Amino acid sequence: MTAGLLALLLAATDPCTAPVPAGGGDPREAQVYVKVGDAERARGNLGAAREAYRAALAREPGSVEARRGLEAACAPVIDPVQAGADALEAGDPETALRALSGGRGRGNDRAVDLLEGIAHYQLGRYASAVPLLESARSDPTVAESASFFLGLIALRRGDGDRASRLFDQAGRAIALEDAARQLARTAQQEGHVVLSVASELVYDTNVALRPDGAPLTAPGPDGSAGLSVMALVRPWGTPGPYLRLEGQLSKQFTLDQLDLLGGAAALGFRLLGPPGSLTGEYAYSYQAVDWRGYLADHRVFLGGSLLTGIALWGFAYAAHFESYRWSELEDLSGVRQVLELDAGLLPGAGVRITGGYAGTWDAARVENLSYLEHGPILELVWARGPWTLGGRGALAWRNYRAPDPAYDGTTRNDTRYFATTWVDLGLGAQWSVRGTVRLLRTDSNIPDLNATEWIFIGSLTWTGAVL
Amino acid sequence: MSPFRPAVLALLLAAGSGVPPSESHLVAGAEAFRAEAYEKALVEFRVAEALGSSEASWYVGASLLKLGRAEDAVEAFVVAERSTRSATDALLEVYRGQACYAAQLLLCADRWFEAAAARAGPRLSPQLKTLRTAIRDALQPGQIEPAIDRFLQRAGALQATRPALALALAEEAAALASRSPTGHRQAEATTLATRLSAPPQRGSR
Repeated sequence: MTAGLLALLLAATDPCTAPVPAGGGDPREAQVYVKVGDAERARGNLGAAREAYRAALAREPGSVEARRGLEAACAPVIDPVQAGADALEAGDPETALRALSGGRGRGNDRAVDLLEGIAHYQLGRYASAVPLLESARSDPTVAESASFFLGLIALRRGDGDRASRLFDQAGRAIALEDAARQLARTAQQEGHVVLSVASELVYDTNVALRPDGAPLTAPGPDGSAGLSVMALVRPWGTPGPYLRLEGQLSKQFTLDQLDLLGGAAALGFRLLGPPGSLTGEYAYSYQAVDWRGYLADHRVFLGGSLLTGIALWGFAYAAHFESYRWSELEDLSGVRQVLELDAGLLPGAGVRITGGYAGTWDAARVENLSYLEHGPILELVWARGPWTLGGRGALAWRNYRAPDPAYDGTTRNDTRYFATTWVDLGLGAQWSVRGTVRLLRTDSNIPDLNATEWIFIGSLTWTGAVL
Repeated sequence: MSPFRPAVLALLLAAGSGVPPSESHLVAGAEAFRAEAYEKALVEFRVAEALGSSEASWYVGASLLKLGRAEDAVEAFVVAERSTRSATDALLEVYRGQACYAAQLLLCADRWFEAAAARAGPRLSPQLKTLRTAIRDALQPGQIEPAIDRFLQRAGALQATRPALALALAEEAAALASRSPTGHRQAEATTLATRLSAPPQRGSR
C-alpha cells in the first residue's frame, strides 16, 4: 500500500511521467518554450529542457515538437562524461577520448578537461595532456586531481622541483594524499642533479660468518657506523642518459680489519613510458677492506618493467667482471651473472606483492669455487602516507661445480635463506628514517659452513634535487 | 534585498494591455527562483528574454549560477550587460561576482564585488569585503603568468563559438597582465578583449 502511494507520488512529481495540465498560458507562446527547451537540451541541461517542453505542452497540448522534445529530454541518455570516465576506469583511454569529445558545453567542461588530460597522459601524449590538465586546475573541484597528473608528467620529464610542488597541491585532496606524498618523495629524486646522503648504524651478530658452534674467540658480533653519498646527474631528465657517482665508508666498532671504503661510477640510459621502463647501465666499482684494495668490479646491467592492468612484470640482468685484489682471494675472480624475473601485483590500497625467480652463475677462475644458484623470491610492500612497510624472503640453492679440496674433496651444496623486513618513515619530502632487520642462514652439506647472521640497521637519509 | 520586483511587476500586469508580454514570465521566473526551482526559473527568464526583455538576461545569469553552471552564467551576464548596460540591483552584481569567482575569474569577481559593495547594505558589505580580501590573498604573483596563458588559450579557442565567454576570459587575461611585472602578453590580451567587445558586424550593405 505504502509502496503504491510512493510510486504514485513519484510519478506525479517526475516531469517525464506527470500529466501536463492543459490550458496554462498563452498558446502563442508554446513555440518560444519549445525553442528554449531545444537550446537547453543542446547544452545538456535536460531538467530545464523538460520544464520548457512541459510548459509548451500546457499551452498547446497538441504540439508535436514539444511532445517529441519532452520524449527526447526524458529518454535515457548516455552521459559522454560518465562514458569517458568508465572507459578510463576500464583502461581504454582511446575510447574515453572518443566519448569525451561530445562532453563539453554541459556545464562541467573542466571535468572533461581533466578526464581528457588523464587519457592523453595514459597514452603517453604529455604535450597534449598538459594544457588540458592546466585548464582543469582552474576548477577548485578538480584542481587537486589535475595537479596530481601534472606532477606525474613533470616527474617523467625529470622536473623534480615542479613535480614536488604539484604533488604538494595534490596532497590537499584526501583521496590523493597518500599517493601524492609517496610521489612527492620520489619527485625529490627526479631532478637533474640529485644528491643523497645516508648515515647508518649497524649491528651484525655474525659479521665474519662464523660457523655454527665455532669457538667464541672467533670474530663474532660487531657494530659499525656507515656513511654513503650518491649523486645522480640527468641533464635531460628521464628518459635520457645519466651519470651516478657513489661513495661509501663503513667503520667497524671492534673488527677494524673489516672496515670498508668503496666508490662507484655508473653511466646509463633510461627509457620511460606509461607502460613501463628500460634501463641499461655500465658501472665500475672499487672496494677496499682494511684499507687495502679488495675488489674491482666492471658491471653491465639491463633491467626493465612492463605494466599491464594491475600486474607489473620485471626483469633484471647483470654481468659482473670481478677481480679480487688480495692474493689469497684471486681464485674467486671471474664473471658472475645474475638474472631475476618477477611479476608484481598492485591490488590497490598501497599494496604491492611481487613473486619471482632469481639465478646466479658465478664462473670463478677455479671450478670448485664456481657455482650455479637459483631460487624463488617473494616480496610484500605496503605504503600508506609517510609509512612504508616491507618484507622480502628468498630461498637459494647453490651447487658448486667441482669437488673442493679444502673439504676432503666434497662438492659443496648449500641452501641459503634470506629474509628482510623494513619500516620506512618519510619526514617531509627529503628526510626519511628506516629500520631494517635481515636474516641470512646457510645450510651446507659441509657442516663447517653452516652459519646464521642477523643484521639490524637504523638509517637516516636525506635526498634532494640540488638542480 | 531581492533582485526581483514582483510587486511592481504585478502592478504593471494589472495595468492592462500596455504591459509587455515578457513581464509575466519575469514574474513567474522570480517566483520560481525564490522557491529555489532554478530550472523552471531559467526557462521563464529565457522565454522573457526571447520575448524582448533585456532585463531577463541578468536573471538568466543568476539562475545559471544557482544551477552550478558558472561559465554559462558568466557568459549570460556578458550578454546581459551588452543589452542593458548596468544591473538594476546590487544583488545581481553579487551574483555576477560569484559566477566569476566560481569560474576562477578572480579579477572579474573582484570588480563586481567592488561595484556591489558601493550599493550594498550593512549586511552584505562585510561579506563582500571578506571575499575581496580572499581574492587578494589568492592572487599569488607566481600564478599570474600561467593563468594569463590559460585564459588566452581558452579565449582563443572559444572566440568563434562563444564570443561572450571568450570576452570574459580575455578581459581577465588583460587585467592579470596589467598586474604582471613584465606585462606578460598584455598587448595580445588587450587586443583580443577589444576585438571581442566590439559590437557584431552587420555586413557592409
